[in-house]
Amino acid sequence: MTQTLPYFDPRTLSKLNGVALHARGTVEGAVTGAHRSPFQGFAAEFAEHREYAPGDDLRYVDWKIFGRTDRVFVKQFEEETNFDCHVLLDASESMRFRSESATLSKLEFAKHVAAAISYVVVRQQDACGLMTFDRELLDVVRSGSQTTHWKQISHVLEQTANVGGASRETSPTLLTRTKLANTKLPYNDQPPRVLEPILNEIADQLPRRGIVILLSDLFDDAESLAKGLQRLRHRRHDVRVWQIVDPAEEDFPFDDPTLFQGMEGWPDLPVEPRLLRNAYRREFFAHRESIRRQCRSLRIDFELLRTDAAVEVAVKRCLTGSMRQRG
Amino acid sequence: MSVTLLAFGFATPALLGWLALAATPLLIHWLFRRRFREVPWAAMQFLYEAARKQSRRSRLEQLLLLATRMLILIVVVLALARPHFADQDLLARPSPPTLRLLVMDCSLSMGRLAASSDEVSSANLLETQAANRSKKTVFDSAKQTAKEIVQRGQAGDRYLLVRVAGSEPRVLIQQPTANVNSVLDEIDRTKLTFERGDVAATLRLLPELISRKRPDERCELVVISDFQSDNWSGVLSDQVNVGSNAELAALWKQLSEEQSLSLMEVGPSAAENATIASLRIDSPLLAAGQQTLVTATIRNTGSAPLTQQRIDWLLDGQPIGTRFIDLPLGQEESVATEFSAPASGEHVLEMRIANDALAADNTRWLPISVRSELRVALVNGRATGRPRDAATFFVEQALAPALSLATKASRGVASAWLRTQTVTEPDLTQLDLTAHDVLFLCDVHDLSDVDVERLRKFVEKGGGLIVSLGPSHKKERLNESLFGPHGVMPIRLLDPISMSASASDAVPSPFGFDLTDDLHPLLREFRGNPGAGLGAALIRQYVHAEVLPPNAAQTSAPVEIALRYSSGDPAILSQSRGAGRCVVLTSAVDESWGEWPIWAPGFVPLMHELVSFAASSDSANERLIGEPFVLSFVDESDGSMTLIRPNGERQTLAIQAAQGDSAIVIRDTTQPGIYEIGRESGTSRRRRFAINIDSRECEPSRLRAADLASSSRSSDRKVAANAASAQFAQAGETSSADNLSRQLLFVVIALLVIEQCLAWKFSVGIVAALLVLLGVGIHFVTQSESSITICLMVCVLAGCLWFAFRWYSWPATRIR
Repeated sequence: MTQTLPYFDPRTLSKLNGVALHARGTVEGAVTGAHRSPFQGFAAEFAEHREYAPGDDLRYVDWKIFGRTDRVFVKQFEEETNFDCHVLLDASESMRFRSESATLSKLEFAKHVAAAISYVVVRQQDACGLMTFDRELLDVVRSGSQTTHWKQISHVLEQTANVGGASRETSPTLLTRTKLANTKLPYNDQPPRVLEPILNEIADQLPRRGIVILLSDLFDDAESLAKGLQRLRHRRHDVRVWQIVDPAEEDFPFDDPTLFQGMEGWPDLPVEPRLLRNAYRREFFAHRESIRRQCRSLRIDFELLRTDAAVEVAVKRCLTGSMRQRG
Repeated sequence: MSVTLLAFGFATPALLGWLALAATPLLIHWLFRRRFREVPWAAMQFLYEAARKQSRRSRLEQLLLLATRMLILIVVVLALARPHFADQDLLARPSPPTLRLLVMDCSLSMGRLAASSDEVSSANLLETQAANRSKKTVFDSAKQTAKEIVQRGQAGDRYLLVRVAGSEPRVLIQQPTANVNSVLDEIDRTKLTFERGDVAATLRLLPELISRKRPDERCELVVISDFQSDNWSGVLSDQVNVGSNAELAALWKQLSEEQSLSLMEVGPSAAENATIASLRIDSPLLAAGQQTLVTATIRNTGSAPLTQQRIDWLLDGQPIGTRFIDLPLGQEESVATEFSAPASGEHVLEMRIANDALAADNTRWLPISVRSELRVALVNGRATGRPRDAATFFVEQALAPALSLATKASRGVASAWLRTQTVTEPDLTQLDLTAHDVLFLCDVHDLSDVDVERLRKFVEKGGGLIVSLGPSHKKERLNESLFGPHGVMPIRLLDPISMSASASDAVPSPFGFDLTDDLHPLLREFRGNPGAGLGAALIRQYVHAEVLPPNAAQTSAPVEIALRYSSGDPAILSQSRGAGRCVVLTSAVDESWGEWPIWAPGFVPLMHELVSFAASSDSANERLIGEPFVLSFVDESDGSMTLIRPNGERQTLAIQAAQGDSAIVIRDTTQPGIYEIGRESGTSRRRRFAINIDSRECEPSRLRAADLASSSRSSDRKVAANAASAQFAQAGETSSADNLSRQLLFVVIALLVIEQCLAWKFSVGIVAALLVLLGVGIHFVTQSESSITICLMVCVLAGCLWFAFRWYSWPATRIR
């Protein structure tokens, strides 16, 4: 089945055999699974005793305790269940950037990662859902644990592709003098932030607490992003943040005078890259460190994925990294 | 041509056009700024933030880098244009007025053409010399330089003008004057001389002139010269410091250390030059029609080899020969030609070479006197009955049948050339000495004081006197009269030395002549000719003679021993006296003291050579420039004497008394050529003499002004090639064009280092600039150029170390 679905490359997915996604804490599942449930009931594994209260099921009274102590206690058991994994895919314009040295745009890379995650999750009989967004929520695939669910996910991923931003992927051209003259540097006219309201909306829509994996370049204000993530954590979700960046965005490998054409409403900016490289890199890494610090305070896993890496390698590293962090 | 811009002049202003190159970095910057690659970019927020923070700083860095690059090009062009401080007023620092002592070299070597002259081989030498006069000489450049110095002086400066020449006057402006126009006029009036530059005489005048400065004045010594080495080498302290040289070097050192010294080296001179170093004729005595050789020495005193140099000989202005020779650089060559002596009288032999850089050394003159006959009076001092016993017998026999003095050449000169007359000693008193050229005294024994006085005057007027001894002579009487203090030769006759008295062997042996390799000019015919028979002469007896020490009052030449006996005692002594010569033979010329007149084949030629030598004068008619010419024993009763100079100027001569005799002294011999002395009204023969230049002045070697300046420890000294490149108003504030250019090149190197550092890392560039500024500061404090160099090297070394560190540690420091 996976051979026919876009983004579900069998050769890539086959390398993910043996890799599993584990919830850090308790998750709420609909069926009995391999993950701890927040609910204590009368399933398989004993949890604790509690004094009998009127209305309790007499089947769970521990008669041995009653015989020794003449007091009535009921046995309580931990419930094991499956989890819901929600993949949040940033499909904004900035995610469509692809440098000359990269084979995939950040969005394409994120789609492959989302597909790989869904493959891993469903294969371990957990449920996986997908939400795409840019400035607003675009598509939602409810979580499901059937292998047929991959089809829906694949379809949504395919639908998300190639929306806007095509003109920005054209090869660089020389700028005319007139165009340069009209270029301004509106430093104080930045575009509105988008991630916080979207994450709030998503947090409200998720029915049960589960694992939330955010795939985005995170080109937003770090504090705003933290507020959105905090909302998810408040809903007791196990949140994972995977930042996807293009290698050019990290390395800034430009030497000649360059007109950088802004995405997501940013104006164009003519720059002498050699003079600005260090300052740019300082800003870039400071922003990442800020997000990483916020994630650490919220007990959120943060991983970095460069689009020049193999998808399966990146996913495997992130999943095993999550396990290490979880301890 | 020098162009002034603001406070600077530029020696090569045409290069200033290249200042437009300074716009090149701006143009490149502008061209590259207008071409941008377009790249869609997602992480704009970081880019904007970085640009916002870096914009002002990066723009400043770019502007500084651009300015540095433009400045490098500007400074390079300025350095190549050889700037110098032109307007001293703009550099104004209050300075005391200056007493400027201008020393101009007016010696002959300054007459070289300043520019390269075309080689002239025209036969018309007058035309070529006229063409030379229209060209600019080194002396013209020197005058121009002196005038520029005066014109650039500031108000209140005073001037003295002194010339380096061989004759007076040397001080041209006696009292310091602030009148610039009069100084300029005096410089214009200063003329080039044909003399050697007497640097010592000029320098000795300077201390007294310097003492005329006021207390509030500073003194500056400006020497404008070509620094010809023969004239100036004496002032160098590393030269041979003996005698006057040591004194001169000490004087120069004192002068150059006690006041500001500026050496203005003028030139360069034209490349090609040849000098006639000497001109002489082979025969000391010329008979009409006699063939003789005239030999000249030509020296290449230029800086390039000469090919096909034309040489012309002229006799009384008529060409008698032409030759073409090649002269390698620095070499000299003797060139001879044969000519036939003209009719008797005074003639002028002249030699010319083709025109070149220095015209004055292209002509040389030699006056020659051609005689129709040689009259010899033989005085027999021995009264005998037989003619053969007469003391003059063998001399008469030797001279009377002679064909001529030039019989060696056998060119058909009549035997009438040599006329002899024999008289006895008592008849000497009545003998008309003026009718004879040579007087041969044979064994005279007692001469009166009157006769001796007549003989002395006869010799000093140009006559030849030959004295031979014999058995009749009285040495005491001769020592008192003929050889006494007022005699003809300062010698003393001692005891006769005979064969028997001196020989210690059992068999006594006669004396012979000691014919060494270095024979006297009197015996030049015997040189290399052992078969002539002079060595076969055997003499039994002679008189030992000793030469008296020279008397301080005596002005005649020293006594020369022309020939010695085998015992070492003098045989023939000679002395030039006045215009004539005196020769003494200390043995007899007859058979009384030996049979050599009979048996020795060299007797006859020796007698002829004695007569010829005594009759010829010792180049009395040739002098070098500046040397006085003395015409002795002038008869005042003959009327006034007139001198005709080479330029045709006539001058009536004053007859002076010299040692009891009347004489004419011509001191002003500053012009080369033929001088003619004659009587206004008489028909007597005119006397000619030649004044030739001193060929040492034509030597091409020059001292470098820098060497002369370096012999002084004074820090206030300047060496320059022209006035425009040196400043003369501000002491210690001036620098030559070369110095300024060199300093600008230092600035270029510093800017290059700073530019590289700025382009690499701005902070490194700032550090490099600070280091360079530190070096400049140290330079001004220590006056050492090495400090700038050391700082530049520190910059480069620090940059290399930094780069190496960054290169090897790059992966570790890479920001992730």
